[in-house]
Amino acid sequence: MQDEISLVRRAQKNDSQALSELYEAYFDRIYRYVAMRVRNEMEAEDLTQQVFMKMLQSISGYKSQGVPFSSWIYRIAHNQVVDFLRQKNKKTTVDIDGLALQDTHDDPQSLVEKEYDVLELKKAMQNLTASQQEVLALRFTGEIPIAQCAEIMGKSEGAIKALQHSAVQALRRALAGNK
Amino acid sequence: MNQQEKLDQVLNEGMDRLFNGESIDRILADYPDLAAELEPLLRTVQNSRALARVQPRTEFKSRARYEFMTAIREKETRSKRRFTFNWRWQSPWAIALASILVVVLAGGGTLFASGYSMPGEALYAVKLTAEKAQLAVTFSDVTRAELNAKYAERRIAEIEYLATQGNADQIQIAAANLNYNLNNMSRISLGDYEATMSDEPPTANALMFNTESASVPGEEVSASSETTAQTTEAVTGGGAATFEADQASPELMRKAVVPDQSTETPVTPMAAPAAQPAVSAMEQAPSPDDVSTTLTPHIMVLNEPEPQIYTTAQDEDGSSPELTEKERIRRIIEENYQERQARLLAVLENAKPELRQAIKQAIAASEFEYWKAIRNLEMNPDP
Repeated sequence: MQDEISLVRRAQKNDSQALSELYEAYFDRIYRYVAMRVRNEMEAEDLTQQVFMKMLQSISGYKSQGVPFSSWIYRIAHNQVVDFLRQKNKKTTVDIDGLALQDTHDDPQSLVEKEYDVLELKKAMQNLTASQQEVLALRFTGEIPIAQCAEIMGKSEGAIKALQHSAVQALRRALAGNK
Repeated sequence: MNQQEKLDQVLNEGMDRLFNGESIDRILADYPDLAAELEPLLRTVQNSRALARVQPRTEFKSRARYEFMTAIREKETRSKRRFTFNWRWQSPWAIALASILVVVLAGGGTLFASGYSMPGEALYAVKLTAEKAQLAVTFSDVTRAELNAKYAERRIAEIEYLATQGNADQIQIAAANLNYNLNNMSRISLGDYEATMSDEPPTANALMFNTESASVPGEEVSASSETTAQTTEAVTGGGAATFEADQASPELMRKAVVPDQSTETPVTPMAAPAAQPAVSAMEQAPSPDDVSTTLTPHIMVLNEPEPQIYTTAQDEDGSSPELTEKERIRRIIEENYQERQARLLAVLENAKPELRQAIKQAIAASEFEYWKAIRNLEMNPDP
């Protein structure tokens, strides 16, 4: 953590090596997060690039007072995704109540062994609300702690835990429905 | 805390533990009263691991990295422009000292920034010079092979980026430099790197499709134009005519396809242990023009030597094998080759028609240098 703080300080002084190291450290994670939030690979790529251009523009304004750099950059990604989805006026979510929910009493053995592929998961994710998708994107792709998720999403920790619970339940139902 | 909040909390703890590698059974054992509700949720999380493995496309990463570094340089340039300095108030010695300091302090940054430069940019020459300097002060063949593999990977990233920019001329330059690094690797595999190493930096034209054959100790320098031509044609997948027909640089292509016999050491199929069947396979290979429609990542592997399995008595005992220097070099060459060809083929698949020729040449040259390197290793095993 201390290393990252000093890296960020150097980056704030336009140290190109430090900027590059931060870029390399976060690029894949941010891409994964964005890719889970949008449907199209090209959109995910464009948005990921925009996140890092924003980072470059505004890193001098970042203040590390209690807010980890990772929360800050994910917040940029969150804002980019929200703006993008708003502009495109995409209906990215389906009311979970509208799903034809199936009995999820799976065969325990197959449940243990089954690992879903990305396409199955992305398809299932589309049945979650935007907030549910967001919390799972943060938790699954970046393994962001719940406190940081709360900072990024601007909600309380308790609210995020409840949201996460409902999101995992919804994902489970959606995956069962896709079978 | 009510039951719902308790389950929210326990699920969150369970997910954190799962992310840290703990098993579900162990987590559930700590929450026996909630296990029935918790288990299916944790299984869902575990079975969604694929999301954490999503990776951006390599080509996109190369392009994005390049554009990010360009933005950094532009930002630096803008901030330097804002900096004004009233030279009239400074004494000459102070100006001289300040100039030296600027050069010294900025030097590292320039060198660093050059690492992200692309063919056609001012700093690209700095990047190549730095690589060459690094090679010059490296004395282990294994490290040299590693460095050249690393630099070859950079050339691939350059080609990937340049393909997105539609710049065929610059792709040829990157491909020429790729060939230079690969040629270094085949020289290293010969075990005579110092003696055969050229001090001259690569020039794009001369190296565009370098069919120069590696010299093999013990072979007579009695070039047979027939066998050389056969090898050249085989390596290009029977595509020599295609290369000759390149109207953009006929002189270059003539030079590349018809080697100078006065300096050429021929590669005869008989001379190379794996060459005899492999050359036959190469003769049956599709022409480069067919690449886009017929190639899968393995079809361009025209002359892939038998994979070497590094098993030793120590392997069977369960201990880690001790590789010889040549085995380590071979492993570096093979690992680099597999990834390189896959990436070049991916570039070719998506390239605009006007870029395809340059990319095909890079693929053919890469193939040839790989074949040479492996053949050299097989001809000169460890004592």
